[in-house]
Amino acid sequence: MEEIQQSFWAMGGYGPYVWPVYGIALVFFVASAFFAVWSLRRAQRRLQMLEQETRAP
Amino acid sequence: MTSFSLHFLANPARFVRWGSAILPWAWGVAALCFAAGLYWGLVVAPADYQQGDSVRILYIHVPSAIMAEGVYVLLALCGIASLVWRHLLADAIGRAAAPLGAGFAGLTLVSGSFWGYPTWGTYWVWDARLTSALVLFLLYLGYIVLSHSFDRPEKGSRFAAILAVIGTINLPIIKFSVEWWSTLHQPASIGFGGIDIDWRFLVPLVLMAVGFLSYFVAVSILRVKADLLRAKIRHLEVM
Repeated sequence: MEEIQQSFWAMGGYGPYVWPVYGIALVFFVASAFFAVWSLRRAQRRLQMLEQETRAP
Repeated sequence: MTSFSLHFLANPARFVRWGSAILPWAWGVAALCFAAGLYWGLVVAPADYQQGDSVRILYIHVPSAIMAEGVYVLLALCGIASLVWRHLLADAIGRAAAPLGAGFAGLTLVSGSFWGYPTWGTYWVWDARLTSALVLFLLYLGYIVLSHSFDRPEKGSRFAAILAVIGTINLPIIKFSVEWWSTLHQPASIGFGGIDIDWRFLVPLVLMAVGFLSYFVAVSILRVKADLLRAKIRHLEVM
């Protein structure tokens, strides 16, 4: 079991090349998604505020 | 100003309705495809007899490249729509997609670089394929900078649209570079002649490609929604 785990991370010696690629990809995907959600929520809140202001200044 | 607000209410509202309906499905497909693709690609699929386990970079590199080119085609089409019909939604889609496309292009370069070193002994070479891929990345950056460089977003989008259309010439160069010139990068394994790649590599590759696309659809919908809201906000702030 230990050996299988070891060899998985080692990737036949190519670990230092394979894992940074997957790591960078992961960061890109996660960060992009979070930023998109955050940006949308921020715009929704701002719009809500503005609509309230125009109704009752 | 009136025609702007009428126009604004028409198509974008429909896009938001459709987008909101598709969104959970896009996330679902992306999650499933990534889970299956990553498991198959990293655990089940065999190592290559020549390249060993470094071949697993394929499952990030190729889908990234496909998306980088595909999203650029989208930018060019949106650019044409924007220039011909002055379509607000085309601008919004372009602005939403561009940073994601840039990310895919960058990921293509980085993953290719990490794959190149153990395979060819170098991180980079100025051959036709790699250089045109770098040009693609720079075109994306140019598009993003242009679309945000002006007070009025419509003006920035106009220039960005022009850049996107002109830059289209780069796409066939990328595509056919490995056939027209002698390059370090290997020729295509999937083309009009048939499929030259073993099914055990092809399955995770397709899964990841579908995952990448689904993810792109999901995040783009979010970004377009935010962009349209910001246009509405600008409209209200001016009043």
